[in-house]
Amino acid sequence: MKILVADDSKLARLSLIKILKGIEPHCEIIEAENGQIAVEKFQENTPSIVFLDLTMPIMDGYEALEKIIEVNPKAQVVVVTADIQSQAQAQVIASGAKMVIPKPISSEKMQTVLQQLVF
Amino acid sequence: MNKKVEFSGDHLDVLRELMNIAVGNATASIADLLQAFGTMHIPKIVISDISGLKQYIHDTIPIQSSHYVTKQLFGGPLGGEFIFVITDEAAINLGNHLYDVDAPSDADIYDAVIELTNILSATMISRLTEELNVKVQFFVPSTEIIQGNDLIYLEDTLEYSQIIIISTQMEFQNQNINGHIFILTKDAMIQSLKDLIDQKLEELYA
Amino acid sequence: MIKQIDYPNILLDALEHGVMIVDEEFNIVYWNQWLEINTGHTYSSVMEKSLLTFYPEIDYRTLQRKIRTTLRLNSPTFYDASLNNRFIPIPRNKITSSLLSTMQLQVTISPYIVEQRMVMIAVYDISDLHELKLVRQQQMEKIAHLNSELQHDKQIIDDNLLIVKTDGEFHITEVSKAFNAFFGFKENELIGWPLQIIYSDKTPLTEYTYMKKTLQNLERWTGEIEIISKQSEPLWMDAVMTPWIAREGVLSSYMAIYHDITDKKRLEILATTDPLTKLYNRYKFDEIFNIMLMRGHWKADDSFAIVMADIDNFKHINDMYGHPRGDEVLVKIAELLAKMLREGDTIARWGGEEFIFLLPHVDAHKAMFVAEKLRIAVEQLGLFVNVSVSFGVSLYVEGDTNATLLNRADTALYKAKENGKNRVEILQ
Repeated sequence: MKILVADDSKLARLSLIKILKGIEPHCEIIEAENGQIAVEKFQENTPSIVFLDLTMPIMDGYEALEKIIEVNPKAQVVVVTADIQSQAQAQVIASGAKMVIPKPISSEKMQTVLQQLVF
Repeated sequence: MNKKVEFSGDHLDVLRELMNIAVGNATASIADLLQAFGTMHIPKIVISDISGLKQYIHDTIPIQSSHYVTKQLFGGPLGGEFIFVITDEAAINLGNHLYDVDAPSDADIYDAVIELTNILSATMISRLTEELNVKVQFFVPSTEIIQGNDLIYLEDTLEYSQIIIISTQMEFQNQNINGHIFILTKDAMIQSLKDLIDQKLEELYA
Repeated sequence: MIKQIDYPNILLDALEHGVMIVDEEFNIVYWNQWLEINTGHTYSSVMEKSLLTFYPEIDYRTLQRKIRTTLRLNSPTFYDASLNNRFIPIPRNKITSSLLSTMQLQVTISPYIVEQRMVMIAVYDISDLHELKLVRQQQMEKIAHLNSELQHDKQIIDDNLLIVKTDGEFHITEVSKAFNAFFGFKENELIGWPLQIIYSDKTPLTEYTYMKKTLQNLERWTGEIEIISKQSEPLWMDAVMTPWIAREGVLSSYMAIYHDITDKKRLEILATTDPLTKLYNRYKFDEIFNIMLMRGHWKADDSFAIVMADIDNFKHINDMYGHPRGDEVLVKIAELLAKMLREGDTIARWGGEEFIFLLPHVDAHKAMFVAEKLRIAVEQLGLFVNVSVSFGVSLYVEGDTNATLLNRADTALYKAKENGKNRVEILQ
């Protein structure tokens, strides 16, 4: 299973990957540090899930989300964000994200995400 | 004179990410209080000294308005000073909003500003210290009205202090309530912070 | 015997501030002794009852919001109960000052048992601190008011007075708006330059020396001085310069205030100048003569001389060539004589074809020498007609007056004419 993790913070990517590997040790992780690279890697690799941060340089998460949905309307994008206002969450779901998770993601929450989207 | 503490790219990355989460929490808390939607601002991190701090504040806060400046100390393994700056215009809007009166009194405005600061510092600092696995103690905040942007009083003895400035903005455009937030720590506390971040990094790579 | 369970109560009662425990419906679960004493409500009378029963005027909506915030964030909330409806009003017993009749309270709401929605509310009396703050606030307002008045006055001065400030080395540091406007300079154009740059070249060096010496002695200097405008126009100014002492008696700068006396000077010049030759007239010469006389301290080898001079055969020149040409001769001789004088010497037109000189710091020998120099110069002038001048010299001695000196000089002149003209004679 291929999973794309997009976040400009190395810490954020590593924490998320660590939790992922804890549940699915054999999944293949692809990393992106900004929205532009995220879109490129999505096209190259067709991952089953995309974990997307919203605040990234060059191209932010909102724009990357739109572009990814354009490429594949069925893409499974999970937005992982620090902005936990309900209005922000609603906006993102309306743009095509399947779920919105607050940072930092916990192991339990990750289980839920994987269950809902993959299994 | 203290030895200068060096922060690596990784350290700054961790601090930035933790502050991101803290600011997100704070914005949501205030959104709840005001029943409104706020724009999140990415926090900036600058490592400087006293004159750098003064310059930074001069560059960030406009000189033309008068401002309500609330300062609150926090202590424990990680200690420092939390400052919230809001123009008197925005403060009046805040007073209006919280006290539901046409013309909030001076006492109402002071009260509203302190209430806002309480929530901001409690969410941001608690979140930060929680992520770093330490406890925090809050002290009584104090507010004053200052004309222009000379918000801090400088002592010559502190000339050699190293200071970390974490700054961000709170923006609720529709309600015209915006403010600047500065979180400051210095000298020995900067070393503490670095040690705590090192521990966090260790957890990650373990 | 004190039971273990009583220790917390004893502790809380020993505190010097109020402590109560309530839930989010304001039902009282604990009330310490400080509160009992200062509110008059006993523990037993308040227990299990709502705060509303005893204090209906409190703004409960705001209080509840703060309690809920405390519980939600699990973090303390602080505020000043500056108005009575913010929290319970507690009377203040202070008689010697009347700013506050109820206590100014610092209120801290801390989470107690969050699951049961209970908080601890602590109150601290900060009345004294608040009084200080109020006084300080009043003083700050007064300062702000005075500052704005000061600004206003400063503006008026800047707009209307011609002022230049310099540092201790007489380099210009500040120039008023009015000064720049009057003289045609741009803002900051003069900053950094030495003060001398605005003064006319004709200003004698001795004037500067005297000015600087006076100021360096921390005394006020006044004088009349010519200032050159941007358009190179010299304008006469009355000047007052004062040293500005900063704190601790240390000199910090000099301030000069100028007053335009161009018109006054014009009148003065009109009154003291001979229109034809542009030399001083008799009136002005008398003034200078009197000053010299009053100075006193003259000795035989360091005295001053009065020299009277008369153009030889001038009437003849006028008759031969006409008055206009005669005037031309007069003017040319006047120019020459004036040019040949040393700094400090004075020349004036005394009559139709008569000049008078005042030569300070000379002895008889020197006076004669100077007069002789002038005589030769006129002789060699080379005009359209040969001209010469006769000179009569008198030297001041103790006891002399205007009259006696003029008399002697006049007599000496007569002697020169008698002895053939175009010569110098002295009468001791």
